[in-house]
Amino acid sequence: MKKYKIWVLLIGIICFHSSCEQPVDISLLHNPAIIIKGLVIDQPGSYYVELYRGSNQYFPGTPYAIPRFEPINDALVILTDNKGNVDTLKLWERDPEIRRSGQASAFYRTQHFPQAQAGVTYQLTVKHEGNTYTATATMPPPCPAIDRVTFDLQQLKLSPTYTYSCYVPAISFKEPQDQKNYYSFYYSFLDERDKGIYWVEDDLEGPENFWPLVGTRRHYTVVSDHLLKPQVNNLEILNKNAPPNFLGEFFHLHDHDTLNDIKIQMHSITQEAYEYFNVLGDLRQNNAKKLFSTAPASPPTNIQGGALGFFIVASVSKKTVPYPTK
Amino acid sequence: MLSSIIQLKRTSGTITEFLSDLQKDYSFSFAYDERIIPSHRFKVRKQRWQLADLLQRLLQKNQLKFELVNQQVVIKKQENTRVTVHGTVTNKADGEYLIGATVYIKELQTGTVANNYGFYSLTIPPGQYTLVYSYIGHHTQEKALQIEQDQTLDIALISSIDKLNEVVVKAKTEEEIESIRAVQMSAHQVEIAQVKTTPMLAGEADALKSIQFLPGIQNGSEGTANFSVRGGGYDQNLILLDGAPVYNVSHALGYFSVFNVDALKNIQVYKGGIPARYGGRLSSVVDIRMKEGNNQKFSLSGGVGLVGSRLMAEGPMGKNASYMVAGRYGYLGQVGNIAARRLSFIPGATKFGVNNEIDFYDLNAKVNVRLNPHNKIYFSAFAGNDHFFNDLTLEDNSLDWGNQTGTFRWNHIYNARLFSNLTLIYGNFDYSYSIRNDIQDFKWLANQQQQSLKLDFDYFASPRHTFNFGLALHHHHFSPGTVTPLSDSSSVRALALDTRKAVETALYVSHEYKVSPQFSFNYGVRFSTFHNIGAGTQYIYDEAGQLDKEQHFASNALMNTYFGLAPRFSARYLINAHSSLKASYNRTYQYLHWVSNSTIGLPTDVWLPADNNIKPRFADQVALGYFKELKDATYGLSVEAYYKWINQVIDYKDNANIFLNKNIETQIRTGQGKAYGLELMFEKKKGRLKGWLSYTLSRVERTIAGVNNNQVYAPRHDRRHNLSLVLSYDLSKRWQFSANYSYITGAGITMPRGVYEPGWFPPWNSVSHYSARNAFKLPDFHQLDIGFKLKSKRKKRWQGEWVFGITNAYSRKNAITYQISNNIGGGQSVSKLYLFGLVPSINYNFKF
Repeated sequence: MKKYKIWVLLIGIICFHSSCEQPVDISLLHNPAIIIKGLVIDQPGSYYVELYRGSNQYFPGTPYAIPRFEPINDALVILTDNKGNVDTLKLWERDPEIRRSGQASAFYRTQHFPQAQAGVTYQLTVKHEGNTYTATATMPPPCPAIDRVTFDLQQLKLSPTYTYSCYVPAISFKEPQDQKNYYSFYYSFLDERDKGIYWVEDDLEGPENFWPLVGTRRHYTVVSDHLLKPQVNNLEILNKNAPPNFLGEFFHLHDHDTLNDIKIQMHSITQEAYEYFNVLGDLRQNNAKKLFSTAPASPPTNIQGGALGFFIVASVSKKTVPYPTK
Repeated sequence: MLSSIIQLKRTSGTITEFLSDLQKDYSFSFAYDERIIPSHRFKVRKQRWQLADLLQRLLQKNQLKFELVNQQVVIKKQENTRVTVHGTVTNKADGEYLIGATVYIKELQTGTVANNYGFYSLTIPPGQYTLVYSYIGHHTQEKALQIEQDQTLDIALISSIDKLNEVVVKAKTEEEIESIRAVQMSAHQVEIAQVKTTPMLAGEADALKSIQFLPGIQNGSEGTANFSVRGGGYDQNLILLDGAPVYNVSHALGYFSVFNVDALKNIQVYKGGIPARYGGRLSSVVDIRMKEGNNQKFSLSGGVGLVGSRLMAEGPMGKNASYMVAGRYGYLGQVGNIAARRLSFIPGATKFGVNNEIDFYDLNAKVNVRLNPHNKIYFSAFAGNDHFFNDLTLEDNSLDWGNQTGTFRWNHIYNARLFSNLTLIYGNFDYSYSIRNDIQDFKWLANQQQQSLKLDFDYFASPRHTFNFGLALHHHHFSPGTVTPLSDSSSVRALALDTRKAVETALYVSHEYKVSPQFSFNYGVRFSTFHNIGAGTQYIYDEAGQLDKEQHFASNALMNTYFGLAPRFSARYLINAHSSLKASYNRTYQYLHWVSNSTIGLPTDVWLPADNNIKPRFADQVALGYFKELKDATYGLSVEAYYKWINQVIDYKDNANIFLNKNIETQIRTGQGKAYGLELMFEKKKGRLKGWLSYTLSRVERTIAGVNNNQVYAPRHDRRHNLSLVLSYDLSKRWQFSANYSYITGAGITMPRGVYEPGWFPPWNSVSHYSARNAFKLPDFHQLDIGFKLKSKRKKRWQGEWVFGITNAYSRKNAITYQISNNIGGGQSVSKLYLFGLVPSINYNFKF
């Protein structure tokens, strides 16, 4: 009996000291980067650049941790091309309501930059607090036209017990087989149900050259052409952003009636941009795998000089279609 | 007379015919015993000769010699100019071969080292010699003998650790100082007795953790069995158990290693100057040999501990054979559960959970049979298995893994100078894991097998020249994974990754040349080839990593070939009897890659062969060392510096997507690595106080396109300072105190700098941005472990000992990683995860 007591005591000491977590001061880690995102497309109109400092500070008191980004309003943003065009972008004042979701970016737009063309190389230069950040990208050949958009009613399994039916847009187009192409697809709609819900961003309500820039936060997908046939029929646009839980519902087209038309854009992008979108999608989905993942890394960037973000140059084709009905 | 010119009548005939002609024609006088003259015929090319040349020509080939005695040519049998002494060196008490025992000839100031089977051979001129046999932990034996012809001399040395035979240890002589004299540098021979006195977690003596106190060998991460040698990755160590590779050395996730020290006899570690007979890994070789089994008497030993118990039996089988069987069972999970249930009133007692399933076992067996003095066979086998489930460390993941190895060996002595060993090897490693939650609920199974044939020769040409040569043939089979959903609700679909086959071959030769008593060197080369073999599919990717082409190969079709030529060189210069300078260069090739899918290294990591997408790695290392012995070899001091270039070093690219990825090679990038460092070691080898102090200053860097945004980075195992102290002190005849301390600079870790993009419904799918790869350091690791051993009073046969230990004596909370969590209610928090604080242990060991 005496021996047994010693045994138990020893085990007790071990357990008392065993595996545990201890809080660490994270203020040391506070070193957020400047994030620059730009989109130049082969369509007329202003082009937009987004600038903010990615934060690890959070809005206090919100029920969920919403990062408090810091907009960068005082940067010098210049767009040039290799044909001698230069434009200094101006800060674009938007509806302050937009910031309610916690997204606090500054947006800049071109004043008189000519319409972008295939084969031309564009350079974005951002000067801020003595640092210069640059990015270069060349406009891909014109994007194939969208022939047709159809909607497929699918049952999406969002959790083991929760299945949701929604429309998945499917796109048909002619794929040029003689070159390597990468495409990104965006769709935008304003869901009546979302109105008034505080976390919904109305970024999707911006100008045509603007909403796909921030649209990566919502509905988009990317594909490479390497398995695509000359006639692509009903290529499904599955949303890379949808979380694998009941909230996924908000990331798809509901099967109930909605009033608004759906705006669809198809972009032909560079290989680097394609990889960037792929990684971004994976990073959103793979937030939680700790032990079974490799060392984490920032999303890739084509910005030189120490900032993050991506300067995308894309050729575009567009289509607006009515919301599908049963 | 011998210089006279003669003209022969004949150009062919027997020796007798030639001699009688000479006697007749020139009246030379010859004296010989006819029985020693061969009767066959000879031919000479010319007729005109000088007498001495002719006699030389006729006699020398027939082991005859001549001399002029009083104008008469006397022909007699040539005496042996070279004779060979060979034999084995064993331990007297149990008949175990002493690997690396030295045999030294006082008069010639030269000697040799017994090979892995205790075999030695010395070829010397006939004469009167004193042979000195010595081995660490054993009393030196001297043999004075007159050697006129080849002879066998088997020697049994008496262990100095066995206190039963208290023999006065005489002053050590210089010839014993093997670490000074050996050409080999950057190597350590680890005594099992030393391993047994080093305090370890839960009192479980651990061979692989003990070597991590040596300079240049660094613990990977606390609680794992990984280690890094001279800046090499965790997969760059060739760990051999009786010649068979052990792919996974972890028990209980790495808290313990799979080697039961009761079953072990010898551990040899090479960090540099790697001999040509070893190949296949870049950074080190850990050659572990099992005991042959006591051939003198039956003996049973074992131990009972807090988390595991052991039992080992050994003994003779008839006159010419012996066996050894050892088993161990670990019950960490049950212990934890009992504690949590019974001691729930103690704060923290339930922290470990009550649903633990952590157990393991291992079995070692070996039989050896001496067929006759020239042939000996061995069969050895190892099996180990683990089951691990602990929601605290691995959440919903349940793991099972195990290794099995089998080795058959045949030692053959062709003649006194040529020794050969044929080895047939089988190795197997499986693991499976299942995720026990509703959404993922699946089981992953993976397996890896190897069959090998090795043929090694040791040729002891003379004390100045030793040759080693041989070949190896390996067949590898990889089944990296099949995934089976365990229920209908699982969101994972069934998946089978491609199985792969490969053949690896090697040829090697090396020559050790003792140029003078001061200067010796060893040079050699190892040529290896590697072939991917069908059935299989070769994937060809475009620059964006997209699958471009698939090429299918039939069974046994050759898919891809690599080869490598690896030169090896070591040299030693004896400055004086007590100090030497050594230098070495080696190139090593590695055709198997261990792609670690976790930052700390888990049993689920996969081995993959080099193929058309991932090239083999190779490394070049140069090292320079100074070795000194003080006070009759009581103290040893060594200083070594090394520089290593690693080519085609691999890592996952930034943001690799590896989870259930069928084309994992697209996620791997290769580049350049380099490592350099300085190692110091001060050792006290004899006396009541024994142990060593070691310090390593080192640096590791990698540059890989696609990793860390193409910038130079330090892998996790780049840790600047590493200090270790290992001590044991005999307080009295029955009490022994031991302690070890280690201090290691914190491991690198990648930390988030902030949020990159908010989630649509933050924080659930927001994207963070991170520091450069491993830009942050975890806090420095330091830990003190102490132990006390109380030996029982000596009885007839039963010897017992109590071992009391405290791991992490001052309860330092050493972080293994930082965990980041998003707080509900705003903000992020970071916490450090540590495995344990102070851990006491009590074990009882016995032997009879």
